[in-house]
Amino acid sequence: MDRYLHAHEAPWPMTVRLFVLMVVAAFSGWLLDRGEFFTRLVHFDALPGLAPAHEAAHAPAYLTWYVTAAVFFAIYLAYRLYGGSNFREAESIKRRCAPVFNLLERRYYLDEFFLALVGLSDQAARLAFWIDSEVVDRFFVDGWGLLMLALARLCHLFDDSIIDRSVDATGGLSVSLGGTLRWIVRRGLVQEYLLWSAAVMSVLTLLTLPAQRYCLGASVGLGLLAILTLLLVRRPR
Amino acid sequence: MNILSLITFLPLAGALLVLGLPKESKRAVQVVALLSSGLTLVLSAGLYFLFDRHTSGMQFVERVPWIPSIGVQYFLGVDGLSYPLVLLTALISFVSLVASLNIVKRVKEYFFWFLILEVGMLGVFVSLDLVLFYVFWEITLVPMYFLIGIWGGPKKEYAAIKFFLYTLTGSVFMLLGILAVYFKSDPHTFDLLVLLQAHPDWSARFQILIFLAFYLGFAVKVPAFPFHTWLPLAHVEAPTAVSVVLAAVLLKMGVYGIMRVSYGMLPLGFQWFLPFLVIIAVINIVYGALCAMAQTDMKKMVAYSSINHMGYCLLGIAGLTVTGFSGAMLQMINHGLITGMLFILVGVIYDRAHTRDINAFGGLAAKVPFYAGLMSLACFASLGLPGLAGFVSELLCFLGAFARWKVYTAVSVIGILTTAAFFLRMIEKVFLGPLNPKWDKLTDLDAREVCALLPLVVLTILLGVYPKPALDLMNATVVHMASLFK
Repeated sequence: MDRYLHAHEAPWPMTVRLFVLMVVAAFSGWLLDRGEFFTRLVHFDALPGLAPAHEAAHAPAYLTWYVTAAVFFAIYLAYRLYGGSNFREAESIKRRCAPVFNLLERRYYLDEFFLALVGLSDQAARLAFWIDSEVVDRFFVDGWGLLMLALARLCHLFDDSIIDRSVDATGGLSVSLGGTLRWIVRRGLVQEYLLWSAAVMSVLTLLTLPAQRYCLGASVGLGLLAILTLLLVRRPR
Repeated sequence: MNILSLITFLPLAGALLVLGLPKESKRAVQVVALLSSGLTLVLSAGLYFLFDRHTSGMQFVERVPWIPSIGVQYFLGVDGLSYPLVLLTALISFVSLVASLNIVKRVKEYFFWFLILEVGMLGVFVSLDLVLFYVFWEITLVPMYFLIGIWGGPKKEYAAIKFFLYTLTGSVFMLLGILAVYFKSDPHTFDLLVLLQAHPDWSARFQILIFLAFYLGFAVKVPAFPFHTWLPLAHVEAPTAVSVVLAAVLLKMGVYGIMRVSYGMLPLGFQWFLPFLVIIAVINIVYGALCAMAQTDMKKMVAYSSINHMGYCLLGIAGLTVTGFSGAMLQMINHGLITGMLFILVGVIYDRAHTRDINAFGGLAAKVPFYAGLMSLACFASLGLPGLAGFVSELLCFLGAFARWKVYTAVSVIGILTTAAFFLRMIEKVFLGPLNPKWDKLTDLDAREVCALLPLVVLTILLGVYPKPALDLMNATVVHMASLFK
C-alpha cells in the first residue's frame, strides 16, 4: 500500500488509455468547431425574458486568451515546482502553507465528514434498534404480555383459592349439614325440635296477641297440643 | 357465477381439491395449487381489459342477502383502489406458490393453507359489507398462524402466536367499530357504501372514537409505529414464500382499510387524527430505516425496510391530495413487487448458505453474477433509484404531502438517505470485495427461482419507466377520494 502514498509513474495500461483519450479529445475539439457543430448540438431556445440563446452562448473573446495564458502559466509553475529531482521549492511552499496544503490534500476533509456521518448514522441506527427491541418490543409488547400473564395467574389464584374453595366449602357445608340433619332425623331429634319450636311459637303468639281472645284459645290449644305431642314422641326413647 | 366471486373462490376450490388428494401425491398437490392460483391470476388480469378507468364507482358488483335478519350481505365490488390490490394479490400468490415448490415438509397442508390465505386476502379487497370484510380479514389470520407456526424457523411458535395475538387484538377493536357504526346507522346496516354516506349524521366525538377503534385494527396490519414489533419476528421466522405474501399483500390490507373504511366513513375522525398520522408516518420512515440499518440479518433488514416503506404510504395519505393518494396506492403496488423480490432473493441465498448474516458473505458477485444483479436491482428499486418502480411512488408521496406538511416531508427524506445507506452497504458486504472461499461452491439462480422472480423484475422496471397504466387504473377513484376533503 505504501507505494500509493508517493508520486509514481502511471502504469502502461493507464498511459495507453490516457493517450487514446487525448487523441479523441483533440479530434473532438477540432470536429465540434467545424460548421458550428457544437453550437447546433447545445443550442437551446432562450427562456422568455432572457437574451436569445445564441447571444448568451458566446463567451467574450478575451476569455480565450486569459484561459490560454492561465494554462501556460500553470505548466510553467508545475515545471518550476516539480521539474527537478528534488522538489525543494514545492516542499518549502508545502511547509509554509501547511494548513492550506492539508485542506487541499484531504479534499476539504469531505471524506472525514462523510465517514463521521456514517458513524453517526450507525450509532443512531443501533440506538433505534435497541429502543425497538428492548423498549418497544420487550418492555411494552412483551411486558404487556407478561403483565397479562401475571394477571391471568392472579385470576387463576383467585379462582382456585377463593371462588373454587368457596364452592367446595359450600359443598362441604351442604354435606356436613346433610350429615348433621341425617343424624338428627335418625336420632328423632328433629321432631322434638320442631315441637319445641311450635310450643315456643304458641307462647309467643299468646303473649303478643292478648287482646284477641279468640286467638288465645287457639294458641293455648296449640301449645298444649305441642307439649302433648312432645311427650308422646319422647316416650319411645 | 360473477367474475369477482370466481376470482375470490377459485383458490378455495383449489384448496378443497388439494384436501381431497392423497398426501403422498406431492406433485399433484403442487399442480392443483398452481393451476387454481394461476387461473385466479389470469382472471384478475383479464379484468384489466374490462375495468372502466373513467368512473370512481364500484364495478363488477355482486349483492346477495346473506343474513337478512341483521342486514348482512354478500356484497362484492372493485374500484380503482381495490382492483390494483386484487391484481397484486393474485400475482404475488402465484409467484409465492412457484417459490414454494421446494417445500418438502407436509406439502399438502402447506399448499392448502396457502390457498386459503389467498381467498382471505382477495376477499378483503373485494368486500363491500363490513361483516364480510371482517370475516375475510380474520380468515387470513388462521393460515398465517399455521404457515409460520409449522413451516417457520427456530422461534416459529413464538412468532406465530405473537402475530396472531397482535392482529387479533387490533381486529377486536375493529369489530367494536363495526358494531358501533351498525347501531349508529339508521336503518342499521353493514353496507359500506351506505355507511360512507352516513357520516354527516354522526357527531365528531363518535367519529373520533370509532376512527381510533378502526385505526387500531388497521395500524397493527400496516404496521404503524408502535404496533410494528410483530413484523420483524414474523418475517424472520416465516418461510420465504410466506414472508413474500406477508410483506407484499398482508401489510397492504392495513393501508387499504385506512383508505377504504376510516377515511371515507369517518372524515371528522380522520381530520382529528391527521397530525398524529403524519407524525407516525415520519417515525415509520426514519425509525424503520434506522432499525433496518442496524441489522446484520438480511431478512430482518428487509422486514424493517418494509416498515419504512409503509411509512411512505401513510405520508402520501396524510397529504390529502390526488398526488399523495396516487403515491400511496402506487407505493403499495411497488412495495409489493420490490419487497416480494427481495424476500425471494434472501430466501435463495438462505437455502444455499443456511445463513443470512451480511458479514458472513463477500465477493459473491463473481460467483453468482445473475443473483447479484437481480439483488442489486431490487435494492436499487427499494431505495428509490430513478428508472425503477420505487422512485415514482416515493416521489408522488413526497410531492403529495409536501404542500400540507413541509417540515415533516423534509424530515422524511432522512429515511431515503438511510435506506440508500443500508442497501448499498449490504451490496458492498455481500457481493463486492474478495470472494469468501467458504462460498466457493455457491450456485446461481435455478429455473424455478428465475420463474418466480421474472414477473416481479419486469414489472419493477416497467412501472419505473412507464407508470401510467397503473396510475390510470387508480386515477378516477383517487380524484373522487381527494375531493371529499375539499
